[in-house]
Amino acid sequence: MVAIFVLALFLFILLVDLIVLRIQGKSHPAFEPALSQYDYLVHDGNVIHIPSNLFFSKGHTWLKKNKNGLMEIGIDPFGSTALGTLSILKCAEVGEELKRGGMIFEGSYGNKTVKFLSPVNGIVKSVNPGIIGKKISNPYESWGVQLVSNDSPENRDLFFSGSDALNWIKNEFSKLKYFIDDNSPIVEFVGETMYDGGSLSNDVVSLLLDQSINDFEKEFLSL
Amino acid sequence: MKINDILKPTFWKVVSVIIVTMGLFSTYYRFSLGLGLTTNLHDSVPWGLWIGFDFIGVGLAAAGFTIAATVHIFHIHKYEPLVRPAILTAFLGYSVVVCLLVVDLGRPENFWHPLVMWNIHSVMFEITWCLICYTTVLILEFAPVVLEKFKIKAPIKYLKIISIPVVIAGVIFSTLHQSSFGSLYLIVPGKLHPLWYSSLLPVHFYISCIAAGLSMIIFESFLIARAFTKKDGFHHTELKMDILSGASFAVLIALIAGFLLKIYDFIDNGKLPLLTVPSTETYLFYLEILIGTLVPIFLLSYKKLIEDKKWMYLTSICVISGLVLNRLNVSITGLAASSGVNYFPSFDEISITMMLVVLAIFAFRLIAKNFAVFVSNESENSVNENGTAKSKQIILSERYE
Repeated sequence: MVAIFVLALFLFILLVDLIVLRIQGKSHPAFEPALSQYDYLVHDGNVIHIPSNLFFSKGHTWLKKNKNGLMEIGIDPFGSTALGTLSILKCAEVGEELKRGGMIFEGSYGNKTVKFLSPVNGIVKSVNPGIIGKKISNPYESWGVQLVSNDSPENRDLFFSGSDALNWIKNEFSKLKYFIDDNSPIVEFVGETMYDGGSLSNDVVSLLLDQSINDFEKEFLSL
Repeated sequence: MKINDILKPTFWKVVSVIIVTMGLFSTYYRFSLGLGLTTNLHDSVPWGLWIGFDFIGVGLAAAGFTIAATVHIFHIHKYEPLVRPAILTAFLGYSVVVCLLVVDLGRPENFWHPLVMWNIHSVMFEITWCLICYTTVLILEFAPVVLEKFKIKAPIKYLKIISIPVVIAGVIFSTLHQSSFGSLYLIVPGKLHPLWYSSLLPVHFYISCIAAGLSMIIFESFLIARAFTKKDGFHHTELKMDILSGASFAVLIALIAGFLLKIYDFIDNGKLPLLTVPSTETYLFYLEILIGTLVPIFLLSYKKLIEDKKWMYLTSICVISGLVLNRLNVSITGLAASSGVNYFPSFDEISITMMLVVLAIFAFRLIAKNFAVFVSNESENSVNENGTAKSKQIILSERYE
């Protein structure tokens, strides 16, 4: 009977906790109502496509080794749409020796510039001039920089691929909602139905606090 | 943490204060009046609720060595965010066990005797030493978190150098004493009910603690999310769903291994007919297997459920409940018939136990709030060229009570 008593006490305490939360009008993290609302993306029509031959870094760049052994690097769907449509302002220069974590792309959302970091070590072999000064409409359309690199994109501790990459990017979009919520003085202007699956306005970045772009880089673009 | 926040009454704070106050009175009575007057223990039932909770506490703390070994020995770094919570849980679990053992000793002032009066043929001697050594290992494993907080850089380098041998030592000590808790009952084949008695009892204890220890970490993750954040806690604790799903899969493997071992044990020892004998022991055995093994195996077998927060939480509760039932069945239910006494713990036994559990939860909460217990994968335990720990504390803000 001692076993039953202890088990019943344990379950009773969990039950009381749920009742207390219910009375307070809150929900337990495991039973949050309509959890799927947090899984909605924040941009219309943003069905995330993850090509199976690409790897994704935590700094929101994609990478793959081409048949010549060069590492091709571009911006992923999150990086290209997070705070509006991204324009690439400049890339690392040809011949430059890049360390992992060094600046590889500089882009802008509206009038706010952000830096994307190199996911690997290497020497810049070539830069795609076609992406400079243009808005990224399809993140996989073309690479931005080609590197000579000995690093492997298949390091699973550093890079995501396949379903891991998809889940991770979805999670990043969910985090973005909280980020915008925390960094916008009047969240209704950003998109008042954001948490219910509504889309963000196109000019989110102008509605964020001044220091938010630095926090965005730290939160989402660091490796 | 502001003083006003601490003093602001909430439902669970009030309940905790009541439990701790009653526990302190019970502790005073236990030490001033003795075991005989304050507990329902006697010569026929020398081990009761406290020993049962010792088994439970140590079993649920098993994630400390499993996660540490997974990350630092097998280099599966995906689970790094679980290392520190697991070690803290283990440390607090063992602290509760040590306190309960001292309370449970007839002559608590002699608790240090096994350190100098060696009886190398006793399983309890081995358990005592393993508990002491493993608690030391846990202190060494958790020390960097404390040192980082106070910016004491130099010792972190040395702790980093010895970290692998320390983790290996922790795995060895844990393996020894987790299984030895089962070995304690090998000397009572005529007393422990055959549904639980087995020469494989040490192996059963070892495998079940792995499943329960990992489930405890999952359960705790939800508690942390519930306690510290008003939003989805996993975003704030770095305990991502994919990490917890991976831990759930390990739980599934351990549960299946334990269940297969149990089936082998029953067939090999001809114990299957016992399952048809109508008795309290049989019903409790069925409950233990159903809640702690079959239901979780069923739930964890579905990929969709293993990735669903709700089912993951419920499954962890099932596995923890299974371990609670198993340990109490072995230490109390299984011995009741042979002792001829129907033992039920006294108010003071229950009160002291609940007080220690509440204090452990309070300590976990306090440490998680003020130290870098929840850190991201890439920063855990890493030290840069200057010897500065890079662990980034996840800000646990906006309390949710």
